[in-house]
Amino acid sequence: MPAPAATSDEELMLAYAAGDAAAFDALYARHKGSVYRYLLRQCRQGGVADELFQDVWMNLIRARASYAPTAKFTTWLYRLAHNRLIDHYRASAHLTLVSADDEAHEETVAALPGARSDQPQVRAENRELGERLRAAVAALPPAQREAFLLQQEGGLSLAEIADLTGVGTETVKSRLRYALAKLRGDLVDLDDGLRESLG
Amino acid sequence: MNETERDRRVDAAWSAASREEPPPSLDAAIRGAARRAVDAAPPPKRDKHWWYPLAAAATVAVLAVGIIQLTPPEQVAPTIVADMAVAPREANKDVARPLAPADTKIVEPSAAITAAAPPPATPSPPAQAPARRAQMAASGNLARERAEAPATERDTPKQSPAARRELAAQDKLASAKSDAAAANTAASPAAGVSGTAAPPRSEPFPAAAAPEPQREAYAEERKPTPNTPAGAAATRVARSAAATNAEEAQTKSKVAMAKVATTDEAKAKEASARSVEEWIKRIRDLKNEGRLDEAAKELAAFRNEYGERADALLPADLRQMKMQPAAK
Repeated sequence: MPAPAATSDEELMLAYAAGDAAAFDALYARHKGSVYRYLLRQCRQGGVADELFQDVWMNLIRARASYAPTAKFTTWLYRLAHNRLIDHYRASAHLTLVSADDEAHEETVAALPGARSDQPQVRAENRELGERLRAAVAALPPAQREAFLLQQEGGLSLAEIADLTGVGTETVKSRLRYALAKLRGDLVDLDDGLRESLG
Repeated sequence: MNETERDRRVDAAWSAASREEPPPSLDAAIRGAARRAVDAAPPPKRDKHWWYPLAAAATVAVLAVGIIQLTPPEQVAPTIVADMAVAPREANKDVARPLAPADTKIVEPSAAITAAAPPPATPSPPAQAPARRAQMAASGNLARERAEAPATERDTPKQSPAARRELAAQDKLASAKSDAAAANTAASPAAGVSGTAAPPRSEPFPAAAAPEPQREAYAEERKPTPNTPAGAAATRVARSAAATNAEEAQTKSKVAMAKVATTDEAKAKEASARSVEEWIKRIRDLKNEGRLDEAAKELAAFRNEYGERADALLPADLRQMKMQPAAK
């Protein structure tokens, strides 16, 4: 088997579909963290994230024979995760898809509860940058959060996110714009500390 | 903000803040499941169409065996035997070989016209004609046959429609006189000789083997009046009479055919063994002994055998001798 680092995700997946178990190990090592974090940020519960994470990879294992490298492997992988997440939302009746994608819904977005970082006690608790940031992301509307996580964790492009989520590219761009604006607002008071931490 | 809607500071902060990993137990479970799925996978299936070539081969084999079994054996083997049996008749008029196409044309239109035609001249292998010629030359008949040949060639085109109608009428008369004989004639080896029906181009085994007595009768009848339509008609009437014995002769046909075949082969070998030098020596001996007629016959046989090459093979003295019989 060729060196995993020199092999693309698609080649590894094809090798695994052909019976190469080591190819799966390499593929899993590459993407397990990002997929896990994507699910964890979306459902916000560690136990549920573990279950969804395992389901996603089991679905991938079952679907290995039908895999065709027509698109990036990561697009296919996050599509599996996205679908599993939607199923989870439907099963738990927890789906809160608020359309906050364009300027017509600015009022709705403004009416959303602010990040917990706005609350003094939470701010006091989450001094650490990472904590503040995770909380800010968690406070994002689901659609914006998903777009943000797919971009950050999955490394997907706007077009890939649009394809995966079933919306237009401009919609994805709008979601990301709102998400980033909100995150900056949440972190503005830590801007200096953020600069220092980033060097 | 750039086109990709990314903020470098946010990206860096998120990378530093988000570092969760799945539990190791979950990792082990998923890797184990993946490995089990691969190990439990069935071996690669054979091509589901692997049996196509095998089925095609079996079909071809079955068809071939079926065709072979359905084909009557006499349509395959007797072709060679038929050629051998027809060869004597062919040899009697081998000089008139160019007639064969004309005869065939006459045979085709109807059975009545076919009756007037001579027996079908089935083309024999080229190797057999020289053998027969050598055999006839040894018996002294070849010169006479060659003398008859031009007459035959002249007569055959002169078989006018009136003569054909006459022959057809004679055939009908002969057929009416002996119904039983006619029935036998239709199914017996005499059918090809008597001319009551057009013989098939590839005669089946029994019809191809002309019975020995019948062939003798045919030879006897042919001697006195070989070339005229009336003579041919008389010959055919005699052959029709001989056809009444066809059933009996059929029983002897196989034995006779075997004898003829054996004799033909032996004579053919003998003729082929006779060299040009021996032949020329014999002609010269006859000439020196004063037996000019026999020498002329031998010379004619030689010329008949070698055709255009005869002049090149003959010495000068014998080459000049060629006009002597005609001069006499």
